[in-house]
Amino acid sequence: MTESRPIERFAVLCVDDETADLAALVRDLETICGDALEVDGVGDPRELLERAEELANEGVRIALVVVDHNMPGMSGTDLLIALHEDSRWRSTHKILLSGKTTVDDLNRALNRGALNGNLPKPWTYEQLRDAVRLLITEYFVDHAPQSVSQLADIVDVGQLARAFAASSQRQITMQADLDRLKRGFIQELGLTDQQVEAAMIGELDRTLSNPERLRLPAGTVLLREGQIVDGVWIVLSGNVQLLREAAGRALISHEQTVGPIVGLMALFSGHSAFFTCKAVSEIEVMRLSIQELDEALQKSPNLSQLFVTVLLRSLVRRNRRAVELQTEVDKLNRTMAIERDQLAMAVRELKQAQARLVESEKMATLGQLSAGVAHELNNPVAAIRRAADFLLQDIDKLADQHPDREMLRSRMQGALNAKPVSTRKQRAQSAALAEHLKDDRLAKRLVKMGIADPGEFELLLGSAPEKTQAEILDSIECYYQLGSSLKNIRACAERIAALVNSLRSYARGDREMDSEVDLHQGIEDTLLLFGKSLQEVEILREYGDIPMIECRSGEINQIWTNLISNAVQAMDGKGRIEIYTDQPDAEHVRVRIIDSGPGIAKDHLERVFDIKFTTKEGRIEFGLGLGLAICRQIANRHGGSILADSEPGRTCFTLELPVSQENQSDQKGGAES
Amino acid sequence: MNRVVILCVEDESEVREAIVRDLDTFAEVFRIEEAEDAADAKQVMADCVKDGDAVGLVLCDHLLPGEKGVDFLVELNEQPETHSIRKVLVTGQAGLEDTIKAVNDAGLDHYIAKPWKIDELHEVVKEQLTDFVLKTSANLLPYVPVLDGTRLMEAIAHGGRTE
Amino acid sequence: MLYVSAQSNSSSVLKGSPVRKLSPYELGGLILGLLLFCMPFVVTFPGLSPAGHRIFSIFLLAIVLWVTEAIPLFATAAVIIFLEILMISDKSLLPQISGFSAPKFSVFYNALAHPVLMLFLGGFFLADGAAKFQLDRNLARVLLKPFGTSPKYIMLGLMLITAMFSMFMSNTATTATMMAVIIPVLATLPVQDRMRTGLALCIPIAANIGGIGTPVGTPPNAIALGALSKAGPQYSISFVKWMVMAIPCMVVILFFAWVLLTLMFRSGAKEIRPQIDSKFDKSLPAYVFYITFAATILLWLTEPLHHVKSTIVGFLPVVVLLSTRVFTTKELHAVQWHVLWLVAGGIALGTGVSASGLDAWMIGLISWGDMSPAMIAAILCLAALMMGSVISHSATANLLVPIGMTLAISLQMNPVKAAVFIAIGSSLAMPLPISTPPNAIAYSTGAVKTKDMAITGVIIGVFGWALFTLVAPHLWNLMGVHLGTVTP
Repeated sequence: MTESRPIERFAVLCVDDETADLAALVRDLETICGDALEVDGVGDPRELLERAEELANEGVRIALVVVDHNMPGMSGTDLLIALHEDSRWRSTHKILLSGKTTVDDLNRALNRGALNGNLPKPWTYEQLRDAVRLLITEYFVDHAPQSVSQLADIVDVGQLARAFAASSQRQITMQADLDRLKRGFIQELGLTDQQVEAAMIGELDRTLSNPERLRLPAGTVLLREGQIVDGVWIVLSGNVQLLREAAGRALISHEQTVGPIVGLMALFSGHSAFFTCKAVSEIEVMRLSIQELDEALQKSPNLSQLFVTVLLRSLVRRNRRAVELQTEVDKLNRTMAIERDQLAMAVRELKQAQARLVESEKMATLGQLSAGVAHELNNPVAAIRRAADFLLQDIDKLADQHPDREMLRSRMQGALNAKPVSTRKQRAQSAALAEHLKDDRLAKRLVKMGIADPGEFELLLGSAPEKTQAEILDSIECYYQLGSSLKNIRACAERIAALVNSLRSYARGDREMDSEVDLHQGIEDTLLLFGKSLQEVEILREYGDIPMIECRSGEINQIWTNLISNAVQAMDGKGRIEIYTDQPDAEHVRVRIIDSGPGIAKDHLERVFDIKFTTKEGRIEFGLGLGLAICRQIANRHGGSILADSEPGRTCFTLELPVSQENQSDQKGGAES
Repeated sequence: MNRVVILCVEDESEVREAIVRDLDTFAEVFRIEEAEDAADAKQVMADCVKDGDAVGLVLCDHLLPGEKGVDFLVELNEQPETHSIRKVLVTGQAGLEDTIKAVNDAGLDHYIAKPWKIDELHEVVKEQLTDFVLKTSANLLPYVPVLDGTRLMEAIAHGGRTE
Repeated sequence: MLYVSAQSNSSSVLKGSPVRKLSPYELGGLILGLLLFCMPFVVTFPGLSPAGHRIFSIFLLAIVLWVTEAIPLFATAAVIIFLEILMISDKSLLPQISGFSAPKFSVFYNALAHPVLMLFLGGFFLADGAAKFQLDRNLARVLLKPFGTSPKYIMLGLMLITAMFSMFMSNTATTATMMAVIIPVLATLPVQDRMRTGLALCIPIAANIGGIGTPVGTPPNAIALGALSKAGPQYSISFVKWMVMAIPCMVVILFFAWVLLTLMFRSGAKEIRPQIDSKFDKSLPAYVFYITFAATILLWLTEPLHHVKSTIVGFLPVVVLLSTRVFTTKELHAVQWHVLWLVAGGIALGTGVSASGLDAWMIGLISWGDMSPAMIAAILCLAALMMGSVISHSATANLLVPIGMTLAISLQMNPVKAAVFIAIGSSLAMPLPISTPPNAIAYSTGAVKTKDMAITGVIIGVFGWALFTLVAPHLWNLMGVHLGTVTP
């Protein structure tokens, strides 16, 4: 796509030998001129001439020069005169900045027509702006009317119109028809758009002797963006729209604001079309070539007046539309910003809600999963238990074949019933026995098979010869190990069974109310599942005589888990947990879980149940966030409450639950909604 | 009689008994001791020094009452007289953090996950003790039947020539 | 007893016992040694010169210490050298004996740098380099490949390779190297398979037999050579001459041992597959070593062509490997200097014994005149065989060689025969785990019982003894080997 900037370039030049002033001047001029004109500043008159030369060579027209008066080498007046005497820059408008210019000097320039304006030094921005705008507008209207559209950004339409008017006036004066024109123009100002347009068309018909009317269907493209324009379209009826393509998409710029003359702007600037023009309905148009237009304008001074009026009115409409569009865009942007903020907030809230959901869903899934696994484990555990018993019976039968069966049986029974002996005690025993036997390996072996007393050893083996002694010892060891292996199998199977039971009651998957729940059992199951995490935690239980309550036991167990895990983490795995249960009144039960951790600051206490509450320092970072929030939710859902109370070394969470849920149904519904 | 000691530290007696019994094949040559916590283990090690025996390998659980297994191993690693002991963690419960600590600070030589397999246990104990006796023992021949005979023989070939 | 040590002798772990306590046995040996050492000062032996009495003290002490190993073998050697200097040298602390020309004290020190020791040092460098670059390990595996998978032939291969290595490396290192190859195989065989015993046993047997093959094969050979070179230039034996004398019988004994083992230990397994993958070191230092190794052995074998003594050639690998930095201080420290000292102790003892006339006196105690030289040679060889079975082979040679040679000379018998037979006799002594370190290594695998070792050891020892004493001299004659003219 071709660059949309006008091809014809205009410049404003300024010169001042004082750097600070020059910089200020350049800055002000740039602000005033915007994108419409290039601004260049130099520090020396000669340089200005050189720069002007360069620009001329590049085809850039200099619309305005602003010249300081007091400069070394060449005065501002002389510079302006020099410029004026060169035909290329005769039409260039010239402003002199003077602090203490002599009237002489000014006159000299003025007399030669080499000065269009004079500003004091220091100037104010407004002074400069007004002067520059005026002079530039005049310059464009007089010397480059085809590029006047470039000024849309910097000059207001009224000024432009005035300038055009002034220019027309000047032209008409030259054609010695000033009065009529003046009257007509003013007359026309009072007419409606349609009347002016009709007048213009009538005038065109008259001068060009009824040029041909074309009827074109909707969708016909009159002008294409970037196309070279060699005439104008006068739209007599129907609607057209002006489009520009941006990012591969056609943007409708004007529809209601097009006006009847299409292509004039491009024609004036002598270049390709700025818009694509397309018929939206069937249209009736008149096509005028550049020659025809010229001819018409020549023939009828009236026409040119009407023409300018129509054109100006469309320009005004288009400009207004642009301003309206800008306002619209601003408004939209503001609305969007507000909506964006609202959206971000909504997303944040959604995320939190999702986290809550995931957490509770996770717990629920975990509950179902563990309940399932626990159930599946029951069978193998049962088989292991039974197998251990069968082994015992069969070994008992086998022992019958041994001559020393009674002794071996009693050894095996001894192993089965043996209490665990600490390794310290074992060592002490084997050391004592070694003292007696003078054989520390034998002593160790004997202690391992439960023979710690030298007398017992003598009784068993003392009389036997060495070889049989070894044999007897081997048999005893074998039976003792059988016994202790069986004992271990049984003990471990019991442990698995206990774990399975706890897991099942802990993770009861259903969400229905259980009618008779023993809270103590739930707490014990939870503690058991914590296993070795509680190895260094002293647990103090003071269970009161509380009734079975109606609740969702799985959820209540979640509360125990969260409270205990918080307590353990807060204490860094070491300390004391106290658990008290009692009944504050007949309808409620109360459980207090107290840890010896560092405590929670008073102003944080209520907020620990808040989902959003996390502090990076202090104990709160121990993952309290969601856990406690869930606890409170569960408690609320049961129509109960959970409170925290803390001082250093003693943090107490108090849970109160109603014994029966009968009167709680409304609360339950409320909490869940 | 200077023997090399295998020390097994485990608080659950059933598990400890099982490990010690699995180590039976080494009992001919090595002295096997058991302890139920770190403090107990230190007592055993002091006894061994008193008897002129050297602890060569510690098989240690992590979750022990009192001092944790990894901390115990770190302690062993930091003291020059116990630094060369081979250290193996036998555990099901050590978290990632503890394991990293064990590798970095305790000079952990191996990690056996519970439930262990007897072949794995034998292989690890064999390799670790072979490393230990190669570094510290003057007479390698007694270890040939139970440890890595090939490595011991190569060490003898490349070092000993007394006739 | 036997003490096979790994590279590092650090006993830092054995806390609380930095100094090993003496066992009652060792303590007894020490006390007995001191008592016997004092005896010649108190008791006067008729016919023994005063200098003879003094050296007799040292000799008795040496016997007890070497037999009991109350102190390490090499320490005994140092004690001998020191006591000789203190008691019978020209710088003796005891009054000089009139009529006895006391040897210069430096003579005894010279034993520590005897040319034979330089020969041995060269052997050590070659063996250490082979270990360093794993030449032994790789060569063993490559050479084993052609013997297939039949247990019988694998055993033959193992024995031939072991014997060949053992000719240039120490018997212990060879045994351990080969054992490393065979231990994984042993692990795959069922415990009751007799082949396990056969395989574990064939290696130390082959190593002991192989040690006979060259002068550097085992220290007794060096002790014999050292003593011979002292006795007179006509008795000195070149590297090649030793090999010509020893190898034919050695090969026969080796095959005999193989047949014996295959008969005794039949395999239940159809085939066995030792690991035979090898990866030769291809670094520049390794190539320097390979070339040095080949050159040294080539020069030893071609001594008759260039007449450069093997004891001089032995220093070649030392010089080359050290100056090319293939060996650094680390390898230099790892050299088993104590073995050299043990040999030096024997040489010094021999010097003292012959200088003082103790040998002649001792020989005079028994009337040898009735026996034929062949008989005497057989008795010396048998004595070495028996002594070597219970004490160190080197100690056996150290004690027997000086006496045996004097006996031979006094009976107009060739001393070469005496020295060589004693050396070979001690090498053939292998009936017990304690006889030699190779036996101890085989025993340590648990695959060999003492009974198996005793049976094979005795049979092979007796067969070897008979072969050498009865057949070898005739064979030597046939091959035109001259043992030198006896000068009374």
